[in-house]
Parts: sequence; structure tokens; C-alpha cells
Amino acid sequence: MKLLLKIIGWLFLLIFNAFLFWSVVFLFSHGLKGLSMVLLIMLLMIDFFIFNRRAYPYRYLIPALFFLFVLVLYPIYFTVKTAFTNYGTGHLITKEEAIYRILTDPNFTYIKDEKNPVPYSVFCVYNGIKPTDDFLILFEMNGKLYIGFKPLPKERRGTEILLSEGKLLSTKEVEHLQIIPETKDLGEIRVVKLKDKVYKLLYNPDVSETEKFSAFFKTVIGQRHLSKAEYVHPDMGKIALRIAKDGKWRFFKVERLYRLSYVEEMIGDKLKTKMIVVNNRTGRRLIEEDGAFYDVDDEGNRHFVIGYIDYVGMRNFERIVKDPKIAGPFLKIFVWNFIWASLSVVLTFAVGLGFALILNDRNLRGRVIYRTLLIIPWAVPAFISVLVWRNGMFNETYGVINKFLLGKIFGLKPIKWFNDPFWAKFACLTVNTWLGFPYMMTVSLGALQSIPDELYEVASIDGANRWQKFWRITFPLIMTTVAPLLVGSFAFNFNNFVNIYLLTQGGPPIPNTTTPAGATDILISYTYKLAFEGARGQDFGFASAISVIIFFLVAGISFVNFKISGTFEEVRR
Amino acid sequence: MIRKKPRVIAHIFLIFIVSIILFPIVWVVGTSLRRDEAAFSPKLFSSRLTLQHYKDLLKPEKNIPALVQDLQNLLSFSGHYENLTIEEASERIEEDIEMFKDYIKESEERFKTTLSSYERIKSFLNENWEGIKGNVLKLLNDVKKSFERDVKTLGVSVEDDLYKVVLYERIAGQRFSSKVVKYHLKELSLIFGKKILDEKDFYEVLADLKRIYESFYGVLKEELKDLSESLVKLQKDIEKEEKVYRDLEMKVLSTIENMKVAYAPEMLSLKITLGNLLEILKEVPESPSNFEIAVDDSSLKKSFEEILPRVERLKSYLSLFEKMSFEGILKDLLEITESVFQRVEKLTPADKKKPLFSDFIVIYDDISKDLTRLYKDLDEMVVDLTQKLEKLKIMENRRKNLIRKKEEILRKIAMLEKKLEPFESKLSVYRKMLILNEYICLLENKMASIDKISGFSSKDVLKYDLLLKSLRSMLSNSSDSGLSKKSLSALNKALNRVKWISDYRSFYKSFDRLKRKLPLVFDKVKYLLSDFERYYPFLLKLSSEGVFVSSSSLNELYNVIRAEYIGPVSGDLGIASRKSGDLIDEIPFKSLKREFKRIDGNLFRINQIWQQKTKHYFLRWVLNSVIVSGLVAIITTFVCALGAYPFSRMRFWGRRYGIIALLLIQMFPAIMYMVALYGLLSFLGKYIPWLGLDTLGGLIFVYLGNIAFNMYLIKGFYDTIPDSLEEAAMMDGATRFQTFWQIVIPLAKPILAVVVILTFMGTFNEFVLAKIILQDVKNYTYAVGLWTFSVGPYETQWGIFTAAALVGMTPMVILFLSLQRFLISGLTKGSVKG
Repeated sequence: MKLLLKIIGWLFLLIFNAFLFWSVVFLFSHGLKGLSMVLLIMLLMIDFFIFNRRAYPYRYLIPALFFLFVLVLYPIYFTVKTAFTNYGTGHLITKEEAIYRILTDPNFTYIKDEKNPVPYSVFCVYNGIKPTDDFLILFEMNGKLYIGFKPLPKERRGTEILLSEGKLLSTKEVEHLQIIPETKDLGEIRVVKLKDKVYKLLYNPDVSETEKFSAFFKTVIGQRHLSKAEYVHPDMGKIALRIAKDGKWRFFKVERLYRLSYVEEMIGDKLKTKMIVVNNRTGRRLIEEDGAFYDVDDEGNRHFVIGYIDYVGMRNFERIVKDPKIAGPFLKIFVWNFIWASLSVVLTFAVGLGFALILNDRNLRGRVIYRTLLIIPWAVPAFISVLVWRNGMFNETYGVINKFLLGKIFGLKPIKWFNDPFWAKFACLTVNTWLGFPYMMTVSLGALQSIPDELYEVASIDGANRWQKFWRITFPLIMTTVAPLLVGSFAFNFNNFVNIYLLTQGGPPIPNTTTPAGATDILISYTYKLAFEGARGQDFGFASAISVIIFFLVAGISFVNFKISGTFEEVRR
Repeated sequence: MIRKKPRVIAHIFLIFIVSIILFPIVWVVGTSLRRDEAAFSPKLFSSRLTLQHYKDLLKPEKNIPALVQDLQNLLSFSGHYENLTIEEASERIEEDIEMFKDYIKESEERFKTTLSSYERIKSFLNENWEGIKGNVLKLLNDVKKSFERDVKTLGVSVEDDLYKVVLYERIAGQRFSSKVVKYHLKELSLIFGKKILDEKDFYEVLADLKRIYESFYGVLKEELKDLSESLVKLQKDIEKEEKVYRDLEMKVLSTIENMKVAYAPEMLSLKITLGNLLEILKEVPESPSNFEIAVDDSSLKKSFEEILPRVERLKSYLSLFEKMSFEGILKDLLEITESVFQRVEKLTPADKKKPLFSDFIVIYDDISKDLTRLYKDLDEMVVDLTQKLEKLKIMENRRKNLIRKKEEILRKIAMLEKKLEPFESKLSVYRKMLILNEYICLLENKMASIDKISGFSSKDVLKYDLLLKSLRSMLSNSSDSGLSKKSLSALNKALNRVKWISDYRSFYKSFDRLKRKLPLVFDKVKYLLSDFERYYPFLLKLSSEGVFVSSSSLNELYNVIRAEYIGPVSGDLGIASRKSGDLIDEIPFKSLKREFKRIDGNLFRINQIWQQKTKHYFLRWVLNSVIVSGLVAIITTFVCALGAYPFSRMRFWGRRYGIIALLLIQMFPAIMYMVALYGLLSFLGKYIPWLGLDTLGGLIFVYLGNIAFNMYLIKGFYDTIPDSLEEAAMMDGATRFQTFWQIVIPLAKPILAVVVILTFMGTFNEFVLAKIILQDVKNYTYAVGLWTFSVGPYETQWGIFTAAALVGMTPMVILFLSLQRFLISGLTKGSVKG
């Protein structure tokens, strides 16, 4: 029995190793070199742990390490790497991939002769009176009939099909083929029999009685099977479906727009051959610049063809400092981030401590009830509270505060909570205080309870009043225990994306900037907007650069926190 | 003896603060139960409650529009129903038709109930018309008395001349038949002691008034008007002048700038050249004259003749460029030019034959053209400049004149106003009296007309409504009329007490329309439905063969519901519903309150049956959230429990640094890796479809990176379990792993439970990564779904938003509160020392 288990175990290990190794190779060949390296390191480590006796403790860490590597270390590496590239809208694939696409993707083709489309008729198997998508197409070229079968995927990227090809054969080359009626006139043919299957005429753009099936042809057959497909015949070239000038869908002879070529250039002192991409129709070379390929038309204008990820060095970082339209808002966001975190900590702590002081009284009846009620803002999930505050309370037109509090009770004019930078910040701080003070209150209560009463009694004997007792006994003793939590709270609020984004989406936009920066944006919400909400496209490179800066800031704060709390000593035990 | 202070202040303070802090929560609960549109209501809380929002969220019913849509889908075998057989489709159609009929029946019954309530209300009001009239008259009387008291306190009389002035002001442009004149007919008769019966009398009286008016007041007023008009015209002229002045000033400045920029460098270089020439000239007398050269200095002379006068002129204008840097350059150039010329003059003819002089001439010829041109340009520019400056001066003077005139006019106006002042203040009192008299007259008219009321028909209600309008206009002009506070409050009281009649009017008007139209809609729908019921089997059969069919009765049904119900009917229903809701509070008769409540409830329910509701996937979202959070919680706990063990029990290289690394890593939230995770998932999704973007699998995968904090927590707990148990077990032959699995894990159940629940809660509430990764509405988690409820079409549908918020909030809050102790002790454990 034990032997069987052992064999199963080893088998599992073998399969696991093989799978990981295959993934490493697969990822490497598809361009994710970083991830493949990470997996390779992990594979070696896991094997080491399993085969080495002394590495027993590490075996327990294998699942944790897997997730850490893939979901923490790799993203860090990736973010740092991306910070030096132009990854983003228009630059989403590697250069090799870009070249591959412009050489294979059917979108990069041109129609050889627009005036002479290839006549065609589509035939399909019918289920009763309903057409199905089992089809074939008859073409007429040079007076001869050709038959095209359903295109099969030829080039794919995972589940995405880049190019399908359909076989194109002359009708004479196909066995068991029967055309009814026997005629060379394409428009007259009604039925095609191939072996046992009967294909009836579905659609021909020049036969008006088939017009009622044009919708079916377009949606079911055209889009699903023919949109990224070509029919290829060794002599006749390629035929593909395009929209003609009269609005109908017709087949045209097409040719690839681009091809690879070589050119010799003087680089330094040596003569080197360089691979370039050439436009087939015009013979011009494509310009590679700034992370994209450009084609030049007859008037000398440049057209964007395709973009790729390119290494841009420190450009992203330089943009932060040098570009005035970015540096200004960036500085504002940076400063506000610090102010926001500090004020949040101070306000929540002040309010929390205040409540803790009141509730710390043993003689106050019902303090448990008060404490439970006051914890509710912390218990309610943050995003729900923020949405309620945003919609119900602070809404400029219908919100409770503007309508009732200011309007009816105080008779003031409504405040533009989300359109005025100052009030937006005020609203953010209010909500954050509301959400955060119960935590501080709880923590302070715990800390207060650890202060022995004798200290207060002695102070009373010495004639201290309440204020002095607070400042000289309570406050210092609390701070020693609470300080690390305050720093932790600072770090938390520094990156508190949820509260800011859900409440104001970053706040009233700062004018005169090219990026979506707002008055209440913090660094991380700015990063998010750049990466996922940029109106001019997603700029992952720039967002990653900012993430790197946040890394350093947070690391610095954490380091300070650890020093203060003496965690390093504790770990040494 | 320590006395226990009652702590009352603390209690009061705490209760007050807690109610403010918990107000949003209370508001959420209250709003989720409200029947009316909370966003647009002027009331903070409402007594019209319903559980409809919760029903919409948790058990959305297929109301009539949804049924029609469903029938259409079934008939054409589209969407989910692609693969049904005819029998199955037939069955479902029958079910839907049954539901449809039930809904229609329910609507009809409910409408009947509202109709009977309405009849009862009408008859009740008709019976009590006397009481209503009496109340209204009493209120009006109070207002009138209060107004009359105000008139008395003003302390002036109708007979005063100043009153006549004010009266003239008021009725001067009016016709005899106008309302305003009618108000004052009695006064006019009183003043002039005769009855005013027709236009002739009126115009006579008017002429008398005019005389009085003019003698006091009219003339001055006319003057004031004329002065103001001329002031306005003058101001326009001044502005025009200023503009022209400014334009010219700009031109002058730009010319000077031009001179500086364009000519200064050239002048500088010429000056240097001339300086060199001067040096040469100085040498000429002493220079050797070894041989004589015939020198043609005619060009020199010509140039001198051209330039010299210009130099003179420019010198005289040098003061123009005072204080400008230009001045220096020009002055130098002029001086040097002059010196050169003077030197040449001083030369003897013998000197002029010397070779050095010929050199001088050559050089001079070279620059003479430039020099001439330069001087010509400068000269012209200066001339132009002086002309412009002259013009500027003239304009300045003109402007000053105009301003002086304006000031004079202003002074005159001020004087006039001062003269009129004492009048104005006295007149204001009379004006107030005038308006009050008008109001009193108006009130008397209204009271007379209301007195004639003998029922509560629509005409009578209209009278009350018009009364209300007049009262409102009185209130809005209250600042001019000088109503005392008491009058204002009497007026307000009257308004509030009578308002219900106006609301009642709009209520029954819309209800009458509804009474006519809604049964028609019902009938039409019933007819179309029975039509469809008869013919659908044929259509169904054809459709199943692939023929495209459409039932005209169904299409017509859809149109009826969309166009006829939505348009006029639903609008009236909305108004009737809203007004009856308001009337519940406003109507002064207790028994009617119940009736209105009944109407309100039934109309609301009818609307819910017929109103098209936007589709949402709330339950699906909650399910998604639960699945994702559950799986993440379980997997994370397992991985962390496993991984924390060696940190607690074994010594190995990297143990210390591992813990530090863990603590460091937990400082970076997953949000910071969002770009990388997005890229990772989009890549994975191409090859493993269930693990990509927009899938729950991908989301779960991404959440599993949050292990550092939990590992630290579990390790801390492991530390509190003594080693001895495991050592004992190992001595008995158990492997390390067996001790872990069978001893440590069961003992660690409390902390594992806490970690599971904490991770569950944390993942349930996570919003950012879910929003980035999930794109299709059906895949959203609860957090992202709630976000869509608060933006877009649901932004002001607070009922459903707050209901959804409450549904998600409550289990989390309960979980949290019950875990309080664990969390708090865990947090303070590490920090409280001693």
C-alpha cells in the first residue's frame, strides 16, 4: 500500500515537473520571458526542496512560494520592467509579434483589382428550410469554376484565430462532385452535390432571389467563418471577402500589403544586413520609429501601421519631472497624497482617542452598547459606505446634506461637493474619518486599559488637573503602543484607493494637463486612471513608472515603521 | 468617599454623536423602504413604505412588459429558447398567458378599489362643503384683519397728498376697466367726494391727480430720468474713446519696440564703424603726404548734405526717447556722426589729398548707403511717432473732457436724489399702504366669491385654487408690501391650510383622465391577448420550421404597453399617485386619510405591474461573490496554514529574513501590481479560457496573492501551541507531517476559522481588482455590481440602491460584530507590552 502511494507520488511529481518545464518553454517562446524565468527558478527550487533531505522545512512552503512568485514577485519585476517601456494602447505586442501580424493578419492586405470582383455563389446544407453553416463556395475565375471549402484556422494565438485558410480547388480536381444544373454559368447553378451531402444555393449577390438570405450569410457565415479567412490557390493567388463599393459583400483577389526584406547598412564601421519591412504595393520601406511602424504614402504623409512595445529608457520618469503639463499635477498629487494620509491618521486618531477616553470610564453605564454602535462604521464594508456617502449624502443636487442640512436647517446655498477642489478634499477626509475612527477607538481603548490606575492617583495627589494628566501620563503611554499602528495606518491610507476613487473618482479634474489628474487623486488612483481609464489610450508604461515610485515611498514608510516598533528585534528571537 | 457622578453630560453627548454618526445607516434603511422617488422628494423620511425594492432585487417578478418580451422570444425560438420543442414552447406560452391574465385581473381589481375610494372621497367632500368653506373664510378673514391692522399701524391716511402721488403713479397708465383701477375706485370716490361711474369721470379724476403728482414730484422725476439717459449715452462715448486711445497707444509702443529691435543692432555697428573712421580722421592732418591722390569727395559732400539735416532734426527729438535704452544708442550715433562731419569740415584741401583721406572716403562710401538709409528711416519714424503722440494728446484731452462731463452729470443726479430723498422715504410708507389696500380689496373680492360657493364641484375647487394662487403671489411680493410678521404668519397659515385643495384638484384631474384611459388600455390588452391566445399555435408551428413569424397581436400589445401606457396613462398615474401620497398628510379629515392611503398603495402596485423594469443580475452577483470569496478563503487558509508551520516550528536558513520579507510584502497592496496582473491574465486567457480576463477563475487566481498577512497571523498562533505534543507524537513514531496534520491543525482551528472568515470578508468587499478584471455584467461580483447601481441608470433610483447595499451590508456587519473579540485581541496583542 505504501509502495503504491509512493509510486503515485513520484508519478505526480514527474507530471508536475514536465508540465512546469513545458510552461517555461512555452512562455519563453511566446515572449513572456520574465514569467518563464520565474517559473524556471521555481521549478528548480521545488525540485531541490523535494530531493534534498535537509530542505524539509521548505516543502511546506511550496504552495505559498508558488503564489508569492507568480502573484507578487513576478508583478514587481514586470512593473519595474514596464516602467522603462512604452507599453500601452497602440504598443501592446512585442516587435516580433507586430511584424508577424502585419505579415499574416488578413487586415493587412490590399485588393488587387477593385473593379473586378470574383463572382461567387454560396451553397449550404439545409435543415428543413433553415440554412446551416455547413457551406461551400463556388467561384468563377478565368472561365473556370473553382470550389472553396470551409476555411480552417491556420494561424492562431491561443483561442484567438488570426488567419484561416480555405482550400480552393478546381472543380475538375474534386471527386464525386455533381453540379446541378450542369452549366458553366455561375448564376444558374442551384445545387452542388458532394459525395452524400446536398448543398443548395444560399446566396449570390447577383441573384436577387437569394437576397432574403443575405442577412444569414453575413452574420452566420460571413462573420463567423470568412471574416479572417482567405481562399488560396497555388495559381490563382488569394481570394478574400470584402465589402465592395456597391455595399454588397464580394470576393476580391487580395495580396499581402507587406513583406520582409533585407538591406545593407553601415552601422559603426561594419557593413551589416538589417531586416526591414517593405510595402508590397508601393515598394517603400516602412519607417520604424518610436515604438511603431509607419507607412509613407504618395504625398509623403505618414500612416500608423502597427505599434509594438519598445524600450524607452528613462523617458517615463523624465516625463514626470520635465513635462510641465505632467510635472505640475504630479507634484500636486504627490503633496496631496502625503497630506491626505497624515490628516487621515491625525483625524481618525483624534476622534478615536476622544471616544476611547469617554468610553474608558468604568462607571459609564451601557458603554458596551455605545462601543458596539460606534464600531458599526468599521463593520460596514467600506465600498458600501463610500457609495452611500457619495450618492445619498454628498450628491450635489439630491444629497441629504445639500437638500436638508444646508437648505432647510441652515438656509445656506448648496455646496458643490465634487466640483470644487477644496470641498471635494473635505468630503474625502470626512468620509475617511467616519470610516476609520472606530479602528483607532478600539486600539486606543485597548491601550488605555493597559495604563495602571495608580499613576493617575499619584498624579492627583500631586495636584495635577485633568489636562495635565492627559498630556503627561495618558498620551505618552498610549503613543508607545499605538505608534506602530499609526504608521501602519499612514501606509494604509497612503494607498487607500477605494475611498478616494469611489467617492470622487479622483475629484474635479486639474485643468491644463494631458493626463487624467484630479484634485483629490492620490498616486495610486492616478496610476489606475492612467492605466485603465486614459481617454487617450492606456499608458501602462507611465503607470508602472509611478508604481515604482510608490514602491519606494511605501518601502521607506514601512522601514520607518519597523524601526519604531522594534519588529526587527522581535524577529530575532 | 468617591461619589459617582451621574455622567449625564457624557450620555447626552454620546447619544447625540452616535445618532449623527449612524445617520447614514439609518438613512439607508429608511430609503430602501420608501415608495416614492427618494432622490426627488422634499422629505427626508417618508411614511409611505413598501418592500417592493427588496422584491425587485431578490425575486424579480416577470411583470407584464417582461411577459410580452418573453412571449415574443418563445414565439421566435430566440435566445434561451432556441432548442425547445413545440410542446415545451407551447406549455410555456400557456403559463405566461395565465400569468398575464392574472396580472390583468389584479390590475382591474385594484383599480376598482381605487375607484370606489375615490367615489367615497368625492361624496365626503361634497357633503362637507360647508365646513370647508367656513374654514377658508375664517382663515381669509384673519388675514384680512391682520392686513387692516398693518394699515392702521402705518399711521397715514388716504386723504394725504402724498398718497395721491403714489396713487397716480399706480393708475396713470391703466384703463378704466383694469383690475388695478377697480381696486382703487372706492378710494378715489372717497378722495374726490363723487362717484366714478364711467371713463369720463375717471379721466377727470386722473387729471386732478396728475396735477398734484407733478407739483410734488413729477418734474423732478422727469429730470432724473433724462439725466440718467444722457449718462448712459455718455458712458458709451467714453468707452469708445478709450478703445481708440488704447489702440493708438499700442501702435506707438509697438513702433518704439520695433525701432529698438530692428534698428538698434545696426546703429550699434554703424556707431563703431564711425568711431573707427573718426580715429582715422584724427590721424589725417598728421599723416604723411608722400604722394598726392586725386580724391573725389563729391559723394561725401552729397551724403553730408542729406544726413546732416536729419541729424539735426533727430537731435531735437531726442527728448522723445528719454528714459529708454534706445536713447543712449541714438545719442551716441548722432554725436559720432556729427563729430565725423565736423572733422571733415576742419580738414584743409591739402589734407584731403592725402592717401589716408582717400582710405577714409573708401570706407565711408561703403557704409554711406546704409547710414543714409538708416537715418532716413529713423527720421520718418520719428516724424510719424511725433504725429501719433500729438494725436494721443488730443484724444487724452477729449477723454478728460468727457469724464468731466460725466462727473457733472453724476453730481447733478446725486443732488436730485438728495432732494427726492425725504420724499422717497415718506412715499415708501404710502406705497406700502397702497399695496396693502389692494390686497385687502383683493381679499374682499375673493371672500365674496367664495361665499357664493355652495358645494364642492370642480368649479368650486377651481375657485379655491385661484385663491391659493393669489395668496402665493402676495407672499412672494412680501418684501415690497411691508407686511408685518403677524400678517406673514397669518398668510402662511392660510396657505398651508388651503394647499390641500390645490393638490386635490391636480389629483382628481389626473385621476379623471386615468379613469377614462386606463380601462381602455385594459380592454385593448385583454382583446389582443385573447387574439394571440387563439392564433399562436399556428404561428408557433411555422416558426419552428424556420420561417420568420411575428404575431401582430403581440406586436400591438408591445406598442400598447410601451406607447399608450407609458405615455399619457403612466404620467397621469404618477401624478395621481404622488398627489394622493401628499394628501395623506395634508388633508384635514381623518377618515379620508385612509382612503388616500388605499389609493396610493393600489396605484403603486398597478404601476409596478405595468412599468418596464431594467434588468439586473443582483442575485447572480451575490452568488459570484460568494463563490469567489469562499474559494479564495479556503485555498488561502490552506496554503497559509501549511506555509506558516516551518516558520514556527523549524529552524532553517532564511527563516528570519523570510518573516521580514513577509511583513514587507504585506505593505504593498495588490492594487499596485494591477498592470502586471492585468497583462498576466490577458495572456493566460488566450490559452486557458477559464483563467483569463473577465472570468471568475482569473479573479480567484489573482486574489490568492494575499498570503503574507495571514501567514504572519497563523504563525503567531502556532507559536502559542507547545512543542511538547508534537515531540511526544514523534517519539511514538509519527512523521513530522503527521504531527502537523493531526495535532497542530486541529488545535489551530480557532485561528484558521478566523482566517477563513477574515479572508472571506476581505475578498467579498474587494472592489478594485474585480472592477479591472471583470467586464461582462453577468460576471460581476457584488461589489462591482453595487458600483454600477450608483452610477448610470440607477443613479437616482435610491430605493433599489439602498436595498442592495443593505442586503450586502447586513451579513458582513453581523459577522464582523461577532468576531470583534478575536480581531481586537489580535491587533493589540503584538503592541501591548506588559
